[in-house]
Amino acid sequence: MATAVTVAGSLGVAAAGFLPWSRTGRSRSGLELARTLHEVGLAPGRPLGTLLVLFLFTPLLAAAVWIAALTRRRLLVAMLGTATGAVAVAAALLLRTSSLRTDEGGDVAMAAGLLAMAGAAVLAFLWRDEEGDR
Amino acid sequence: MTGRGEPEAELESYVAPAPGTPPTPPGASWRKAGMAIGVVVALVAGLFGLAAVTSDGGEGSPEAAVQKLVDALENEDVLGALEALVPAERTMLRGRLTELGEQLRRLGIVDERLDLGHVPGADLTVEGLELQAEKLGEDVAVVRAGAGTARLRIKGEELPIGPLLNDLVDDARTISSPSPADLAEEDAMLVAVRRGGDWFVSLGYTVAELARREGGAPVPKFGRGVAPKGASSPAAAVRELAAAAAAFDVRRAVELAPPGEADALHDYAPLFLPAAERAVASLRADGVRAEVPTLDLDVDSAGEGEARVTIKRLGVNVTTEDGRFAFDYDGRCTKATGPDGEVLPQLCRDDEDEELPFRRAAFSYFQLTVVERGGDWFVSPTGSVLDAVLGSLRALERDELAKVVKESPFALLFLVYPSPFLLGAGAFHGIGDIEDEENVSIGSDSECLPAEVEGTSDTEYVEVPCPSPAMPAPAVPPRGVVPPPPPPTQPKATGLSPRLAPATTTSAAPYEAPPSETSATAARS
Repeated sequence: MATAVTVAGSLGVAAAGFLPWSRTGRSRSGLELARTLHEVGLAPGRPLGTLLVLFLFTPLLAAAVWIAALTRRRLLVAMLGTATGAVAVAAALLLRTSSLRTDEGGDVAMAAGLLAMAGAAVLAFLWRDEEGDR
Repeated sequence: MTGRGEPEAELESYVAPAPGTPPTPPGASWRKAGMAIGVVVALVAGLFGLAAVTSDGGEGSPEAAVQKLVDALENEDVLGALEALVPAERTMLRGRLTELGEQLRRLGIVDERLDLGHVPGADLTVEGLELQAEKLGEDVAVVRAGAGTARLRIKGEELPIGPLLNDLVDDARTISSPSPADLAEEDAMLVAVRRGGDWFVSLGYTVAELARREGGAPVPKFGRGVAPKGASSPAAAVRELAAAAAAFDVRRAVELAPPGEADALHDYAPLFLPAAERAVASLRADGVRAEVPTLDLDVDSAGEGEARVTIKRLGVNVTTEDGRFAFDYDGRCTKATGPDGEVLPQLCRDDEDEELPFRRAAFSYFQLTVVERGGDWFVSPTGSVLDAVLGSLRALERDELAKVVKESPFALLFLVYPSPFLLGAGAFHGIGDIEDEENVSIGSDSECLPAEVEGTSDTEYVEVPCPSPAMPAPAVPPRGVVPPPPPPTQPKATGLSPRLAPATTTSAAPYEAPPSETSATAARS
């Protein structure tokens, strides 16, 4: 169940990247916005720049979570799910605090990201318990 | 999904493996399909991510690049407009535009409604646009409007006018929209350049091309202009620029402009360098000499590959047939000395002068932005000017700005290009009291002249409010005082930042050649 939640959350994050996130003159999807901000260089500082790059790779992260789940690597699912969720939540928070006008994509990503992180946390606890039992 | 609860249908379709082969676990085929889908999606997603990270956002043709910019402008999309620009130019604009907006909001010039994604109150509509590209070189093309109209609709009540200007613009609704423009008739053009295989709009090339056409010069050989040649460190770049200015070496100044940002300058420089060098030779023949005996610098990192070089102390001597002029800046005050030894009043950084609050801001021009390209350091003209404008804005407080603007709304214009002018004009203490019966009296209503303004139909004449003491525009020095030099009108042409021009004023009265005027004159020539 926790694996399914993590995978669903991660896929939700990937899907949310294609939803409209911001109206910057015209509506832009999350991935398009991240690409534009990265191209234009409007993310000052290394942490924000890294976050934008990571966000562009959230579909890849979600696919990796999916593959890890299929191969029953629960710790990997937990780690990748946490990373995917954290990137999505951070990007959505960043958008909320910016002066850009927001659309629903950011909220969906935030929800999906939190879901992925919650599932990943449960998975991590389960994995730790199992390791303890051994 | 994880193989723990396989559907019955799958169990029914399970086929026993051939003897001797290991048994395939139930659900393996689903898992394999899932894996295959996952790997394909991962590959596609990875490629997408890589493409997005490595892309510069260019277009496949010059017309598409210009169309992208037009679309962004129509949508009031600042981000999109930046994306259409050539990367080297947008690099200099990006963070600075954001801060410019913040500072204008802080000072109350605009309000919170202005953001990068939306410029309320101004609605540009372009209809029937047909673009035609004409290649000037392999990677440079002029894009003209073959047909189309542009209409700017101003909705005064929606304009993001801040509280500072609210009192001035009593009824913003009365601001009228200009009539539609026929883009083909106006010969509207932009220049697109190809970088990394993609086409972008270049503001630098557009300005240079317009200037070339205006001057009737031939098309330069692109890529064969002045080769950029930087210095070994940020301080060395500024020192070499100062040395070039002192030697009236326009070519060296152009070389010190950074590649990318100043590509247009490098490409078009051969069109004006010969004339500039002839003018310099003429100056030298007239015995004009310049030297920079003092130049103390302080270097601060401004991020990766960028530094701000602050001029802590500066001394400039210029000798002409009329005598020796000197300008000194000790990090706090400026001092100018004429040939007869007369000393102009000092202008100091920490002066508290209610009449000229912009003076303090003007000192931000004693700083140059230097960028690193390919291991060498270059002086960035765009970055230097924009950073100086931002520095000026940072130095101002809302209250003092409000006071000045209340007295003279036109003072706001000096936020755009305040420095050399204010340093010069501000050198005269009590500027509001300067009067000369033969010249314009500052602050005197009787001497204010009507200004010619282009109206929609005919030329209109409007009464321009007289400059207040706080507005140092038409400063005229008292007799016997040599005014500081005017600002260099073509900073790009010389590569000299306006910050290096120590002082200036606009005066109808003739004046003797002041320090640094010579270099500016050489550049203009």
